[in-house]
Amino acid sequence: MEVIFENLMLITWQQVVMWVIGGILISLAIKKEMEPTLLLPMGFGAILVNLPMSGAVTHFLNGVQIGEEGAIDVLFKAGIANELFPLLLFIGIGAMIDFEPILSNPKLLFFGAGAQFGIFFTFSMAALFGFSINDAASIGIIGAADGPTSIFVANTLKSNYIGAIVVAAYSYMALVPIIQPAVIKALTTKKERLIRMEYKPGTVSQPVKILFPIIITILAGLVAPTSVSLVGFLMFGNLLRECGVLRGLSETAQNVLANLITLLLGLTIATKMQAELFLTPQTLLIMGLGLFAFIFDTAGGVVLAKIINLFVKKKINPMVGAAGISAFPMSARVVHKMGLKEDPQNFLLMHAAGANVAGQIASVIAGGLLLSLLG
Amino acid sequence: MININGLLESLPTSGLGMLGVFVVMGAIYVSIKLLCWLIRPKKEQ
Repeated sequence: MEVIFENLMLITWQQVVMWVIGGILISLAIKKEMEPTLLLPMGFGAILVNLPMSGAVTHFLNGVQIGEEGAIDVLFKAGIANELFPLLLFIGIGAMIDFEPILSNPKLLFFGAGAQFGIFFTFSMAALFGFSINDAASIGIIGAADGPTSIFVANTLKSNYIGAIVVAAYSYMALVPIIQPAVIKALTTKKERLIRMEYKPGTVSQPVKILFPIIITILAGLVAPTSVSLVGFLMFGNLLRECGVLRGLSETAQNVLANLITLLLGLTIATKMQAELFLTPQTLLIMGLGLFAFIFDTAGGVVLAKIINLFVKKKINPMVGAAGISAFPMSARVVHKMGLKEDPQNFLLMHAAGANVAGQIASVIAGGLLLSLLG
Repeated sequence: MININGLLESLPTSGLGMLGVFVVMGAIYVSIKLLCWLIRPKKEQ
């Protein structure tokens, strides 16, 4: 009985705040279905690691470990500290992606590049706000709109704010349907939003689909060799999908592997959500900068499309540029719905899906380049 | 709080990074064009 009371007396208000944050994440996952596969384990993990003397995490007194190593810390060391979980998840994501829309219309690749503007802009803004260069780059990569890339880069750069960065990345990915329409409307005229784009489905041969992931891996490896695993694992997953002889492995990667890793990733990342690490003014600043990253990503894609329109006869609907962010497939759906709202006969889905897939590649390349430039 | 030196230090990386993404995507564009030109889908009989 005494032990229970002793433990109750150890509860701090910061831990209670973290329980509330955990509860909010769980509630958003269940009620609003916002990225439930990640926010739910993260929310539960936030409560788990913030119980007084929680056995889930390792405790230290004056730098000396007390008792056993916590299970979540063991998982962190085994799967995140060495970047294994995000990379394995990339195999699953690669197996899910169909690159045909960009193979039949490769011009869309440039929207993927333009919509990474938010990463580099936010990186500089974070540096301006006093974060170290490595922390600033880790905050900028929230704009990759891609959880595993954010985890991979922040962890490789040994950022002190990985918990806040991951929460920001996944929260804003879930908020893409709210953030993007506002930015798109602010930057485009009704006339531009009404631009119709012809879709000519090009036939892409199977050998091209098979060679594509191999060539991308070689190209990315030549440009940013230190981070080739990031692109390589994504493309390996895609090769499993396209080779045509490993259907079972491809399905396992898409479903079992991706689900299992996502589950462990969410729970494990919670070790960085311990009150003393998470409840800092910097966390609020990171949340603000993360929003900045998503806004400027969207703006980058839209503005690039508007610039291209100055030089081409067949105009591009600038909303398609916004789909160049990596939040797949939410961003493509948002653009498609906005197009239909303006004109019920304007079908932008295939163009937007192409730009969205390009964004997936570009965000991984942006992450790799940041690591190479700061390495 | 405001660190102008930090901003200045970050600008070359930001510029190179953004340029690098466009260069790699450009290289991928050329590769796709080349691949599709070399390996064309067979016409249906």
